[in-house]
Amino acid sequence: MLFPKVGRKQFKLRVAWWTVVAIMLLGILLHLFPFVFMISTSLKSGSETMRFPPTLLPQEIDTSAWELFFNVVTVNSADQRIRDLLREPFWLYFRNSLIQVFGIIAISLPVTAFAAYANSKLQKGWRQRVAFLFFIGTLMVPGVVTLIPAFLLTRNFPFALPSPPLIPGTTTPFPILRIWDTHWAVIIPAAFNAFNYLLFKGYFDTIPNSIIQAARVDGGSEFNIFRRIILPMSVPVFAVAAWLQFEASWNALLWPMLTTQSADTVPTSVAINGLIQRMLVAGTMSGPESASSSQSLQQLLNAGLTWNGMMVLGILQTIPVFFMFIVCREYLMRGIRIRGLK
Amino acid sequence: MFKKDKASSSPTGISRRDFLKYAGTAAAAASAGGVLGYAPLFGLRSALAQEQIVLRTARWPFVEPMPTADEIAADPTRQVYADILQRWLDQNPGVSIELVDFNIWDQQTLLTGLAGGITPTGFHTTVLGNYNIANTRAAFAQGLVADVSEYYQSLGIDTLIAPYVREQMGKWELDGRIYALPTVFNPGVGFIYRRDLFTQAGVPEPTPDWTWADLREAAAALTTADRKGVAFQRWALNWRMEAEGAMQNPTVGTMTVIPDPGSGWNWRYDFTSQSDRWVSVIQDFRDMVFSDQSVFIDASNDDNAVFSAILDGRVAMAGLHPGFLRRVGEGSPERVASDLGQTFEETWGWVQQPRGNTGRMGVTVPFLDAISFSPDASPAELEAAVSLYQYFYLGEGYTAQQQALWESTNELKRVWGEFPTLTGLTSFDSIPGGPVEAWGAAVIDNLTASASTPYPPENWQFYPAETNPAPTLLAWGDFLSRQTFEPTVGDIATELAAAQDSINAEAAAFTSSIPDDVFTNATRSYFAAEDAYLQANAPDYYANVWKPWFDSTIAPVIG
Amino acid sequence: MSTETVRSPAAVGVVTEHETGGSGETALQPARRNRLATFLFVVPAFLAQLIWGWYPLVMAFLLAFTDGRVRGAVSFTGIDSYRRILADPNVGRAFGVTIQYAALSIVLTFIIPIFVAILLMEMPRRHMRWMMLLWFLPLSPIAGAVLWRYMYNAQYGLLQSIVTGLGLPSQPFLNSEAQVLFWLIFPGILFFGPGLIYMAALQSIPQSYYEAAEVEGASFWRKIWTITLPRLRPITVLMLMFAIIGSLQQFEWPLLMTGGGPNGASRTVVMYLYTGLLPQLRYSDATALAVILFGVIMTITILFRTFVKEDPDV
Repeated sequence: MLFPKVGRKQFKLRVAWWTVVAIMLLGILLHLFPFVFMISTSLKSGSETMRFPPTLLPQEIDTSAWELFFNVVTVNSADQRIRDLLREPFWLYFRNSLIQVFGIIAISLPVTAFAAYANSKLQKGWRQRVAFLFFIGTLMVPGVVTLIPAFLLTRNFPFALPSPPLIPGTTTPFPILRIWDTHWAVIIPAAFNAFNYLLFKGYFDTIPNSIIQAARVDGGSEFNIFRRIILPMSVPVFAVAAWLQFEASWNALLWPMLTTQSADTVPTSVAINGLIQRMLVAGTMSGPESASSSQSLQQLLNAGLTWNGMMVLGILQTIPVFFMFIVCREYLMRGIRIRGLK
Repeated sequence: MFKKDKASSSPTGISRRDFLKYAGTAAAAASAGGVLGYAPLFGLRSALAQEQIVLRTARWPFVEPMPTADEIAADPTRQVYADILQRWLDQNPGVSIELVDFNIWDQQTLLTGLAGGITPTGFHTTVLGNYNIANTRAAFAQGLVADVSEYYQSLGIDTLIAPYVREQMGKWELDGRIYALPTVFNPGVGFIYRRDLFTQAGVPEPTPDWTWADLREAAAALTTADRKGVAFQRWALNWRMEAEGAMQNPTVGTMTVIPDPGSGWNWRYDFTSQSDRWVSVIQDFRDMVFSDQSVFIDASNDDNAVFSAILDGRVAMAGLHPGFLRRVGEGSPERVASDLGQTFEETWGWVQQPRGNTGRMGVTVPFLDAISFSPDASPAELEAAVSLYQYFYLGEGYTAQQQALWESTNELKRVWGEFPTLTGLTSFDSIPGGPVEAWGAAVIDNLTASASTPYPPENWQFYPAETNPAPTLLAWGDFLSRQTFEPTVGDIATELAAAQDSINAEAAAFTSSIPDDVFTNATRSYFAAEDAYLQANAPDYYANVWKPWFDSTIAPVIG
Repeated sequence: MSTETVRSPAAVGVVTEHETGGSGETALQPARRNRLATFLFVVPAFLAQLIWGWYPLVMAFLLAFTDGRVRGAVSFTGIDSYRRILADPNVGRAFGVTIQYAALSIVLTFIIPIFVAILLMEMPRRHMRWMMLLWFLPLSPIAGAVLWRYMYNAQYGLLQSIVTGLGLPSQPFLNSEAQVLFWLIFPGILFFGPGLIYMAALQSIPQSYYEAAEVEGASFWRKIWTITLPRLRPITVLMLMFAIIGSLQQFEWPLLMTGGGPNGASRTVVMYLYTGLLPQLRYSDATALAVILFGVIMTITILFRTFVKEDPDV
């Protein structure tokens, strides 16, 4: 606590306290703005969303976009727009998303945290430095470069090739393992998360070495030290990491698009975000080219999808992230609660 | 359970997907502890292909899947489509259609999918090159799509398409082979404008041979306190420069790209020898933006922003292709007209891009959008796919669908949503009214004029395909965007010279795959074709500007 | 890990003096025990990173020495790709833009989330719950792009009306080469910050430190300066490193907002790779550029770690 518990009635402290509160509230107001805008846009009529400058609040409430939303959620395929958007019932995509996202969290959190803990507290000297670069080095390359080999790897593991090579001297190809178009194709490549590695390492570094030394002297195995001492101290960072991982995996688009294709593997982000992305990037430079790209935009506009529909789909895609935030927040605040009792 | 989107023609037996699912499940159970779902797809595909052909679609531009019973119950008009599709399936036993989720609209997704052979059977061609024709043709050269020449002949596609469509097929041919088939004849980017506002302001309406000087005048006259004359996308200065003959790629009438067979890349870029002319054109555009203040333009402006500006009445003209007029329902031009208590024809017009001030053609070039097919399709699959395409775009399926559309909506605008048509049709049996009745003469006359403009010679008709990497030449677009947006710039001529140096420096590192003698011969015939075309279609530009330039600059190089 | 019990009399001797729980478990020799434990901790991540991180990366890097075809046989072309990339004037410009973008975005956006997190921790708990939600819940990037494009419009935008309303001269916003980077980064000053991460880290600071400082009469700022910031240092340093790595590869946001303009002033290296090279199917050139960018970022990272240490106890 930066503000002392006693003496809060003092004038100077009071002024300072209310200044801080005012700054926080101002920030919140500014943050509310995009949310209000997003929700109000979803309540506008199609023509009002096109108006410029945009109206902050809808002049006339139009719920057609939300009807679309409820039709999507309740799988009412009578709506033409849904048929154009989703080929399978929404809950099926939703289920696939849940399997994949929680699969990733269940695997990547411990795998990443172990490696980060080792780097923070167990490794020393050049090993530590090399391991660190080994684990974060892949962050330094734009993902689009490794996309094709990684994708081919899900098709023909262990070969990052379009088709497996032949066993020399025969006409039989090498045996391959194909995880493509299974949930594993989304989960396994995400088993290690370099960003969370940095996050965990940064957090474990803040834990004083003396705590671990004391435990070692007490004779705990390294795993038990991790489980009994480090883990309870790290609940907040696990909560944050879980949430960040959830958000990233829930919204991942390009990778699941390439590695899932059948009804029981495709997640919601692919079903929903692909359309939104397409609408945003339409339009290029010269005459014939922009004619051709506008053509693809036309297909969407004809399907009745305008900005209000986009906002609704955006909200639909965000709601699970919102819930996950609320869940993780309780764990994030656990440290605060414990500290309050101290 | 998930069979509903499949158009399975065989009533008995299990479908391929179910089969694979069971096979996959069995294999998964067998593999070590079920750790990984091991689906030996590889060995199964060829065995199954003999029994059944599966066409995979991600919807438009390929086929819509068979509507399910639910869908038909909810929307009886879908029954008509189901019947039309079923008719084709009956004629082609053993073929089924499967809907897949695949973003065929993103270049990287599509190319990656092609690398692993997982794309739908048919997809929009120009996505391969991110909507750029030269890049798309490079993709053809790399074997990324199937060669459909055989079916183009055998299915009679060449005889079904209209002459103005056939004229454009050259784009989709490479070394005599055809890699894409037409889906939409697009009249190109012109200007959508509000006829009523022109009338109110007493400004004469644009005609197909208006010039940029006319546009500037009209925009200034239409500008009021709460309205600008015209809305532009952020790249609009490219249009303006191209209409005067300044651009980065050799096109008919270009005077800034010079053949240079002695160099590695075979072309050099010259923006300085006619610097005065380019500077005055740029200055003219800048005056329009900064002094006349008659333009709505912003670095974030794309098609959407421009379209919403004209729908909202904030501008009187907008640089868009006529497809935007076609939208129906809420937030559409049609709705704007009815809100104003006017007819569509009184409210909306479309016109080609203006000519340059020296008389060169504007940038509106009709564009033929196309569909290409997966290179992984077996010959039987490919034949089925092309035949299905032919049925829905050119054959009976097309006619039947338009008639059904009329019967269900009674709206001519929907029936004639795409005009000009691929087949050249302007009427259907049993539909009372053609495109003019749907869209008004003001729009249709200009569209027809645009479609019937003789197709200009394109360099791919003359040069062999470039198989080496090509420079990006971004410096030109960068220079133009600076001139468009920066309120105060330095000496334009100096900046132009710097842009030229940058482009030439980039190009110097590239080597063309075309041998010098082939290049020189191709250049001779290309310029001869340009000569003939310009003489016929832009006589003033030809006599006063292009021909003198050709004689002094190009003739000495190519002999 | 209780299975790897190798008895060592010396260790037992040391441990028994401090034995508290009487679990009967004994320690390995520190060095060996440490190495085995380290190995077991690291091996799953090592395999995952090797197979799904480095293997595709190396495969991709090999592509830079070929003609880079997506399909079919590739042929080796040596260092042609590197030659083309190094001779390309657009690449130099893009590196210039990228470094400016990264520097500006770190200066403007890095510090604020730390202070937001510190101040949020001061709020009463029941208020903290909803304040946190509103501060850190990310907005869908789609809504963000739409909103900011409207706001930045130089002719009709909300920001322009605020600027002129305050009696200032009207601003070109994204239309000006000089201003475009600033306005692209501006939304990130308040939005999208990693404040939640700091909130987690702040909880690891023992409360007793503050109580001790309070007894000594330390002021608000002094407590932040002498306790909070030093204890946050490891996470701050790593987040800073990530911010450097991430901002040097930024491209999606400027791509959505400006497409790289005006005059290429917002075209970063990765955007050039994505919008200049890849659409032309120049995969090998794109990879060569990525390798160069990789080299630059790796060098910066190593230098950074040489001069800035994370551990607050060192």
